Amino acid sequence: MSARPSVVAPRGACALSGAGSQRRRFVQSGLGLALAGCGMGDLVRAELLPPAYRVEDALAAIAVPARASDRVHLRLPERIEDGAAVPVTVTADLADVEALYVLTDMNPMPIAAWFRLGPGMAPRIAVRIKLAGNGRVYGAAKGRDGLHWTATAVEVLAGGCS
Amino acid sequence: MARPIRIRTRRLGNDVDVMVLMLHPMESGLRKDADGHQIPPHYIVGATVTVDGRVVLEATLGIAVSRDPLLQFGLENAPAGAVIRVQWRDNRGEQQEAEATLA
Repeated sequence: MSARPSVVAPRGACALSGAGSQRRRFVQSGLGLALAGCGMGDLVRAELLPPAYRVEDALAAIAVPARASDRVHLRLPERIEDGAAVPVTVTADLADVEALYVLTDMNPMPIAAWFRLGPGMAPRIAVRIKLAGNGRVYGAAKGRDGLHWTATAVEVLAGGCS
Repeated sequence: MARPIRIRTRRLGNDVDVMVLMLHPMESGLRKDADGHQIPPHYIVGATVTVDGRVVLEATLGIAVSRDPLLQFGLENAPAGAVIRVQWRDNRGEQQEAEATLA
């Protein structure tokens, strides 16, 4: 089993006073929302973990087992002119879905948004998210038997964070 | 009303499709204005939806969510006349809420 890599807080333009320590806590927790700002994608990615590793880390932190599954469906445009407002729909062919998640590997923090579903809710959510650049968008569903996820590669012509 | 919430519902048999638009800048805090000054962070951190007082959705949002968050979801076996209520709160402690009645 490989050792867990240490996580380094991004430096340079990302190290804003006040925001820096808060970002370090979220980065170290491995979960949390993109406080680091998706516009910093290129700078931050050079200094943090490889994106796919971080997303899989985040998926496993939500629930285990976390497995790629054809029971989760992701709908979003594959070629995106403007990454500022990308509509993403996550649906799951599963009973008793507790929560749905949208993740990315090109924003510094993996989870873009997540939704806890109460009784009587269809296993479906649509939200508009910012995408910093090319990469993969993930949809995940947490159910009684762990996490099911799927991912789609996207091309973003103009990053949505600046 | 500053930063209103718009709720649109559409009944399809026993189910109701709901669209919620929460007007909000969703500012990350890391953009700069034309003079190079940091625009302060201002974004919705969470939203809660209830139907007849019962929580059906708790959304955790943040700066990766686009300006004016638009959520869409479905209620199964939702009775006509039920009251749907949406409330959000942001990183500055501001809140907003709105309600609608299901057809």
